[in-house]
Parts: sequence; C-alpha cells; structure tokens
Amino acid sequence: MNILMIEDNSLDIEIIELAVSEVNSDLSSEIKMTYIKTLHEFDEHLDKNQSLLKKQDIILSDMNIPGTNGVELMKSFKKFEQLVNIPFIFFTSSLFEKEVEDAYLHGASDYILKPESFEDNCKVIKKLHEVYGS
Amino acid sequence: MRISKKICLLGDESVGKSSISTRFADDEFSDKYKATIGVKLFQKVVDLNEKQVNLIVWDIQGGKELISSPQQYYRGAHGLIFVCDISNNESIQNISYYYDIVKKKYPTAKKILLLNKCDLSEFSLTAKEAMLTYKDMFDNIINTSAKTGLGVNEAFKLLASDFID
Ligand SMILES: Nc1nc2c(ncn2[C@@H]2O[C@H](COP(=O)(O)OP(=O)(O)OP(=O)(O)O)[C@@H](O)[C@H]2O)c(=O)[nH]1
Ligand SMILES: [Mg+2]
Repeated sequence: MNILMIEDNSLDIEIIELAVSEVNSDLSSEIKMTYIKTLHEFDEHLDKNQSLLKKQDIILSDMNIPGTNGVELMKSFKKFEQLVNIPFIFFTSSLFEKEVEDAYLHGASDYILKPESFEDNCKVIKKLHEVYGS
Repeated sequence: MRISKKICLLGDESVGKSSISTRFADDEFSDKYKATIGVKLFQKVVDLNEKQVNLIVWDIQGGKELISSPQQYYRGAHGLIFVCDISNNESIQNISYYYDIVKKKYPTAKKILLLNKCDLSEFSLTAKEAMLTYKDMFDNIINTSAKTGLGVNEAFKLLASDFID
C-alpha cells in the first residue's frame, strides 16, 4: 500500500514513520510512505510528472501547509482526471467546523485528528490499511 | 430562512452509526462493514411544517480508545445521538461512558438514544435493565434499524423539531 503524506512538520513525519514500521512488522504489511513537505514540491509533482502521485493508494494531508491550506491542495489535486479517484484524507492537529465542512464539500474521504500517543498513531495506520489497503 | 445544526453520533465501534447516517442522508444500506476513521459528514434538509432544518451529521469513529481529544469533534454540537446495538450488551453498557464525556459540556443539547439493529434480535434482560437507567438521561429513546429503515427518519425529525420552536 502506498501512502503519500503531505506534511511540513518533521516531528509528525517521524512519528508516522515509526508507526508505519511498527504496523508493517505487526501485520506483515507493506505500507510504503512518501513525504511531500512543501507546496513547491507538491506543485512540481502536479505540473511535471505525476507518476509518483498516480501510484498512491491514499493521500494523507495536513490542513496547514505554509503558503496554502489542505483544501486548496486537494482542489488542485482533484482537477486531474487520473488523480480524482485517489482518496484524499485530512490528518490534522485541530478540527474546526467550517474547515471540516469545506473539506467534505470538495471531496475529502476522511477527516482525522492526529492522535497524541504513538500507540494511537499505530491504530490510525492500521485502520487506514484495513479500509484502503486492498 | 433555513437553519443549520450540528448533530454528533456517538457509540461503540460497529453499532451502526455510519449505517444510520447513510440511511438518513441517502436512504441506502450496506451489509459490509467499513470502519469510520476520524469523522465523516452527512447532510440533509428536514422539512417540518413549512420550516426547514439543515442537519449536518457528524458521524464520529466509534470506540472508547482512539478518540484522543473527543471534545474537538463534539464542539458546538446542537444535538447528540447515542447509538448502541441491541444484540451487543457491551455496547449498551458503554452508552453511559459516552454520556459522561459530553453531559457537562453540552447540558442543553438534545440527547437521544437509538437502540439499533432491532431487526436482529429481541431485547435481552441486560438491555431491558439498562433502559431503566437510561430513561431519565435521554430526551428520547428510539428503536431503530438502519437495515430496514425503522425509526431512523423519525429520530432525526424529532431532533430537528427541537430547533424550530
Ligand atoms: N442487521 C443490521 N445490521 C446493521 C444495522 N446497522 C448497521 N448494521 C451493520 O453493522 C455493521 C457496522 O455498521 P457501521 O454503520 O459501519 O457501524 P459504525 O457504528 O459506523 O462503526 P465505526 O465506524 O467503526 O464506529 C455493518 O456491517 C452494517 O451493515 C442494522 O440496523 N441491522
Ligand atoms: Mg462508522
């Protein structure tokens, strides 16, 4: 399973990286993470060669990305016919009513609050694998 | 003018929260279980005596554990729908756990309890005993089946009716 995470916070990336290797050894799964840290990097993939984007099973995106926000990213992602069916999931540290509504209005698949503990991060990864993994 | 209200669903995993939301919003049902991760939103306008209430349903992932800061999900809720599965005693007993999380924060929000999967089994003794305690905690207790549709629209209409007077 391929997951692309759009996240600028290195600590959050580190936690997910650890959680994924824990889950992979627990379930003998093969979840492979790719990270995009900036809007610039994201735009480059979108503009030039979309091969990395196309092979993802899900996109896991933060809501706060310097220079933009998650919903705007999702809108530009979903403009492409070859990408529109890849589930776009928000994974954020805060939850505001209007943002959640906006995200669903524009085609979000899930909206998840980042858990605090390592254990709960593993559970999120397991659930994502269960729901989107095959 | 149309008013919009936030409704949150709470209860254990697999009791039927998403199925109830889907039955209400799209009049559909599936036997397949697909766990909710985080929160899913559903929306439907309920017509009540020429007035309209737009219900935004927050279908929140079930289970006691994974919700690390539940208040972020429930914040600003106007109505709370608690769901248990009548064929699963633990889910019935756990209702008081969810009730305790929200009762202080939302003293004025209308609270109803759905006894879901009524198509599956009769009420057990545990279920009947629990109902005696729950009677005073909830504004309404309704038998539902997301599968047959029993009680689902009635439950949401009942909540909506509270917002227009
Ligand atoms: N027979 C019957 N099955 C039901 C009913 N409601 C839900 N189910 C089934 O129960 C399972 C779980 O339903 P969901 O709606 O996904 O449960 P949930 O509460 O949203 O679960 P989480 O997202 O994990 O919290 C599914 O297989 C549904 O088809 C019902 O009223 N009757
Ligand atoms: Mg669900």
